[in-house]
Amino acid sequence: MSLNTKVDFNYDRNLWVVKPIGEIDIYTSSVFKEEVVKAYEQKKSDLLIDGEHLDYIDSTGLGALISLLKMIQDTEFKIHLENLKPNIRKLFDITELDKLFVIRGDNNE
Amino acid sequence: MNNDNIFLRIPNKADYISLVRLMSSAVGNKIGLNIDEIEDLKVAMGEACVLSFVSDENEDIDISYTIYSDKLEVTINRTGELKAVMEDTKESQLGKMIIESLMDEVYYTDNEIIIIKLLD
Repeated sequence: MSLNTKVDFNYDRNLWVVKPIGEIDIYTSSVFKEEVVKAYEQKKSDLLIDGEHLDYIDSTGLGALISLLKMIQDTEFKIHLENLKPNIRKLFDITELDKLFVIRGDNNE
Repeated sequence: MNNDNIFLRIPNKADYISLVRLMSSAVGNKIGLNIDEIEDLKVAMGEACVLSFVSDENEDIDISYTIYSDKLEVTINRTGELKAVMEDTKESQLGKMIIESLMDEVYYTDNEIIIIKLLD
């Protein structure tokens, strides 16, 4: 039920690295979104969401990612998703969101 | 385990939905689903609860699992209409897409979502 989100700026790669640890669901998705938006507004750059420790996401979590995408769609920046677990990657395939996000480095166990 | 029933009633609060996911995993394990099938059931049930969840109402959400020899049938019932299903928002579309892809049959009524997972 819980979620911890680590948000750090990576100066080498010049982007925000967002590491959600736990579950992005109806209970946690609004806080997750707020934390990412807060970081982005501090310094506008690409966003990298590292799914290594993301165990679960539901449609409200996917909705939060879509709203982040809308936030940056008129800019030069992109949202990258990395190290998604197969169960989470599957949801991006089902909902065809894999076409909207740059997904790489699938974590195939 | 023929026609056995398991019931769960949760308050209309978002933080209880994780409890339904946990319960769904346990039921899936009990009826012999494999790990991927358990994960699918858990995700579909989470989405069904999100669809049933109405932030401005207080009625509890009733979940009933019925185990048949050839299928698992889960009914998610709430008093009052399933607004999210009716309104067809972007998020509810995502939720329905996920449930329909992962489960074998899904039915929506005014106040119920019925999910069926066929057993081998």
